[in-house]
Amino acid sequence: MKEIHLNISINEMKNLLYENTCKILKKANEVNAGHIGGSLSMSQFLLPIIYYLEIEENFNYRIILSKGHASLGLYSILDLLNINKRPFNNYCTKKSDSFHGHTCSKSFNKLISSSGSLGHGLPIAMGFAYTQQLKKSNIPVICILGDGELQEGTLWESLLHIFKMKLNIKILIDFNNSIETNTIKVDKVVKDIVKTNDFSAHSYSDINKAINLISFIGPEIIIFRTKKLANVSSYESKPQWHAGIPNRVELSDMLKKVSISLED
Amino acid sequence: MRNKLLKTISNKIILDNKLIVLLGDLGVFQMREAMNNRPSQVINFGIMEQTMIGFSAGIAKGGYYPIIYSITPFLVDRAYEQIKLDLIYNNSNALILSAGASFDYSTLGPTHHCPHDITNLLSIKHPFLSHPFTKLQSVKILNYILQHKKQAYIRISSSELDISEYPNLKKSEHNSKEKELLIFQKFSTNSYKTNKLVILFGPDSIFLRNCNYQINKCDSLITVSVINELMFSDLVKEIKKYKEVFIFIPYDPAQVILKLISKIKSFEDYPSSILLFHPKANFYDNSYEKKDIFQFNTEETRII
Repeated sequence: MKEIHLNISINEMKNLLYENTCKILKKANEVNAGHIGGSLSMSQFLLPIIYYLEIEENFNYRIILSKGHASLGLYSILDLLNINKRPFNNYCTKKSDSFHGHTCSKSFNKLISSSGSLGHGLPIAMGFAYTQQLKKSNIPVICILGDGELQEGTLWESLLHIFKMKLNIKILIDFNNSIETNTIKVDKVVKDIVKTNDFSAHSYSDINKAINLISFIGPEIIIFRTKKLANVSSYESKPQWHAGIPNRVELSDMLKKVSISLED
Repeated sequence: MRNKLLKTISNKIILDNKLIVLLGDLGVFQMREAMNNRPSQVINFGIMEQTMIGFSAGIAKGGYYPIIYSITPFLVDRAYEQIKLDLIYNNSNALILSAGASFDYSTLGPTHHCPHDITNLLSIKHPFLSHPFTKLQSVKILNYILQHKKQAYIRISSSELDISEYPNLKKSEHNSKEKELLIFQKFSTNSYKTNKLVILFGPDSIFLRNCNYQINKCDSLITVSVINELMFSDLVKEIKKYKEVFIFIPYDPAQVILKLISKIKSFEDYPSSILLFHPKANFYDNSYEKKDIFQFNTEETRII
């Protein structure tokens, strides 16, 4: 099978990631809301993947953001890539046409459902993928989980069915190794029971490998090694930035420290 | 009633390939033929109710209609958040078929009792709840739901109401906007008096203390089989015609009563008395008979 890869150069992708990082930080400060830690770690791999699927390929897929608190990351990507500007512009504005702090299905036509409560996304993705299998459709369902979320029982229950049913689901785990949850080594347990792909979200070749896996039919689990508040040096991996909002001084300092890490 | 419903569903899935039945390791014996004939449409999902509800929401989003079957508390209590968010908030229509009603599994203890399903589902805006009184009615309601593929809940009880035991009562007409479905049925004596009205919410009502006595003394009886907005509007019109109203609700009545009172608005004319009979909220930690739980633990709450 032909190897596929992003046509956009690594430097152009770094520029997009830089712009996206700044947008997320500024928006959180502007509206005094948002989970910037997970939004930035997830964007590190989701931005190139959505860029490939939407801009380079016009790929038919569905997505569910099981870690719905990272909605700011998704909305920022949709805005940056001119897919839909409304959710980002109206994010947590507290007006009648605003979008709340978790993912709303009205924001993106590829989203299967709204989300926010952890552990709900994978069962829904599984049901949708089952209907695609019945229709003999190859449309993959991308389900994005957080590593902390992996402690939810529904995800382990879903794994019992997904591989047996051979559903076309791509489970992308934003493994930002949150300090609050690392007492349980969920990545080791997942690897013990199912085949996984352990990738770095800061490796362009790993992201290309992930895009290849998304285009194949069948279930795949991809662990993306990331960091909370990725690319904001000296602020990375600090648990207070899971849902912490930068004030004006902190924002200014963060923006000075944005440095995109993306290797070949 | 449950065997009749499962048999009907087994027949329906052959005619409609958009129906997907999910069993919570219950009903496998009754559905075995359907499982063999249509394995992709009948799945014994296993003992993972929260995941099963989430899975059903995904099925609905994919253009199919899921029917979920298990024991009441394992669906409504354990998977409450999934029903609230994955089904209702996300507009993913599914039929939940629950076995056990309030105390059908009375001798199995509080883990298998669920006298608060209706009130909990009403409080998260579930739009269509039903507790059929007879096998025939349950099939009629099921057919209606499958035809319209609504967000729906059927509370299957092991009890049925045999109206022929009350020979003084004859069926009377009432106008329902939903012609295909009788959300409630009205029975009246020949005397045309409007003194006493008895209202039953589901077949288990007859086990509540005083229920039989009041049915034998009433001028009219209403059996409510579907709880939706239309039912509340129509029922209030009936309530306002009578002087005394006796309401029997064999489960936690909180949300039903709140909705009724909010629609009655004014008590200036009739009724002058509304008395509610319902089971006490409790953990029945013994091997009681179902009828004994109701009989010995009926609470009377005066509304006006």
